[in-house]
Amino acid sequence: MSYREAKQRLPAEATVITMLRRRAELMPEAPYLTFVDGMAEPETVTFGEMYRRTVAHAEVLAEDFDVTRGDTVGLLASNNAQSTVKLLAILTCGARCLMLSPNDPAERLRMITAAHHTRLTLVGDDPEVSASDGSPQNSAVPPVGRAEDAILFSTSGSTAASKMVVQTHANAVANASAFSRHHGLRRGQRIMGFLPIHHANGVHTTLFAPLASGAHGILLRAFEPFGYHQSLNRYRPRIASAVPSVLDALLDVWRDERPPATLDYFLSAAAPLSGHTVREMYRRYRLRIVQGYGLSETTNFSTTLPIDLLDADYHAAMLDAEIPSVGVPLRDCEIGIFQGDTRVSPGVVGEVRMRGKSVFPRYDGNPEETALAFRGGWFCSGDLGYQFPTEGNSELHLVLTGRAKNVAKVRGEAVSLEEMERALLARPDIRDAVVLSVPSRLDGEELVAVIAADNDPGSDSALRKRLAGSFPRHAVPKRFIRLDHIPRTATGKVQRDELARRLALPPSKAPVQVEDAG
Amino acid sequence: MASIMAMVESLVAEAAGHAGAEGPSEADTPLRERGLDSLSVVALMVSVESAFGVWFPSHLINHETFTSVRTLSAVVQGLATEESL
Repeated sequence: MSYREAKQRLPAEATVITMLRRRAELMPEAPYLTFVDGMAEPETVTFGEMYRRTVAHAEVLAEDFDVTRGDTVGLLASNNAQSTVKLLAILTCGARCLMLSPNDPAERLRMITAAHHTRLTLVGDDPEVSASDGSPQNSAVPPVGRAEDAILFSTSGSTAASKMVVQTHANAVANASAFSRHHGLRRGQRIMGFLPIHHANGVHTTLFAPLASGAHGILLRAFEPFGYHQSLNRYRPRIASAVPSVLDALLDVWRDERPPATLDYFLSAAAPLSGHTVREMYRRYRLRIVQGYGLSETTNFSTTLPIDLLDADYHAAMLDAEIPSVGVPLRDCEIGIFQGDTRVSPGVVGEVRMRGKSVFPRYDGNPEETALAFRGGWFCSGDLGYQFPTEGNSELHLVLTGRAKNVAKVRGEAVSLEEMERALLARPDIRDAVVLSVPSRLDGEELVAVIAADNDPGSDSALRKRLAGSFPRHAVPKRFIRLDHIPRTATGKVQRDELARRLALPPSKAPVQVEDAG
Repeated sequence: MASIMAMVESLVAEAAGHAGAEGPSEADTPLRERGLDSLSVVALMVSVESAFGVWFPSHLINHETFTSVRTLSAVVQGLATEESL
């Protein structure tokens, strides 16, 4: 960081909008984001232009749609400039932006927007409407406070009871600053991503980290296995953000291709990275994968592998490890491993808990679930893990070993097994249902439904259709196993691991029971 | 060619089933419309390689090859012929 930049460290009262305004003042002509959509001409938006467009659109929202502080506005967000303008304009109005996936079934979207009292929903693929030239002097919109709600992300599930994570401006700024610091991001450096911006990772890593650092984000519309290498070569990012299934796909399709020498590393999150992927990337290209970990409840990243590990430590933590490390806590984030209320020592497995500036305040309109999520001031992740020291780092590394909650991660999306069971049981023809998660090379995990029915509940495809309206497409089970009855314990519990073993399904890492996990 | 197409068709159906979609099984239907997304197409490529014992060279790993059952079968036939020579 230059002296000039050091003097201009983010003020303590920073919000997402003041980060944007500061960049627009500091470096208006510098590229903020380049949006890449297949063969179409890429669109590069400077910090100055993004600020002008944001202010101009915010005026329309405020004046023509009466969007005001505390309102909830839905956004069907795609990876394009208009969606980004709309997100930032909603925040400029002091409203909360509820992120929605354009791929979600209409029924799911309707339930989510109704449950969270969404005033209106903007479509990110439409051009944004602007009233003026967006010169900030014209803006009548009052400034937003950092403690105010900024973005709402749905964690899992489909019904009104699904948990909606509220992230404040302070959360977003803390995460963006800690992320930029951890990765040593500097102005002008490029970071490339393709993860959808209706997910926390897409928003924080690709859209907000450049605001904190002055870096240039390259946002691909989607992951294209055959075109990705060309994008890497064309934009030459220092960091490329990815997920394990995509890294595996690249290892499959890259034959003569090599990543450009300008690429320092892949940043991987959203699902556990396998040792095989880490080793292949290193063996073939001498390229490191920097794994991170976090939940939308902790904004985006709570931990990330140090980027400057000594070779010996990279071997120990990643290449030779049975389970690759998710790294050390980011600044302003603390990690604790607990069994019940007792914090355990390094090497001992327990529930991973976090506290710090990036931890969310609450689930929207759900004080019961919010209370359950916290214990003694710590957010309980439901993930199990242990910490270990390395030679070169003062901070302890975190390794994740499984999950305490019955949640599967399909393509990075959390899906509640219990909720899918409830959806199956909602029909009188199904007497009992258990949903199991099994490992999948393609999706990370895939779901298998075990059902017991009195009458024929219909073909697999009829059952799939039944679930398709309420769950993400990839989460809908591929297989349905029919049993006369589902074995339960005396207390009515299902031992999922035992059932999976009896059905000769491959063992899953989730769920693992620990004593008093939360 | 007919037997290659039948085999490719069954691998496509398997990959499409995986993605939870069910489409018509015509040789010229775009694989996207069959329910194959970008990651499923890569999975299909790997399963075709192992089923036919072929190896796609870099210049054939593209959208043209993976457009439909017909285009993919034609490339597989070309590779299989080359290898048997």
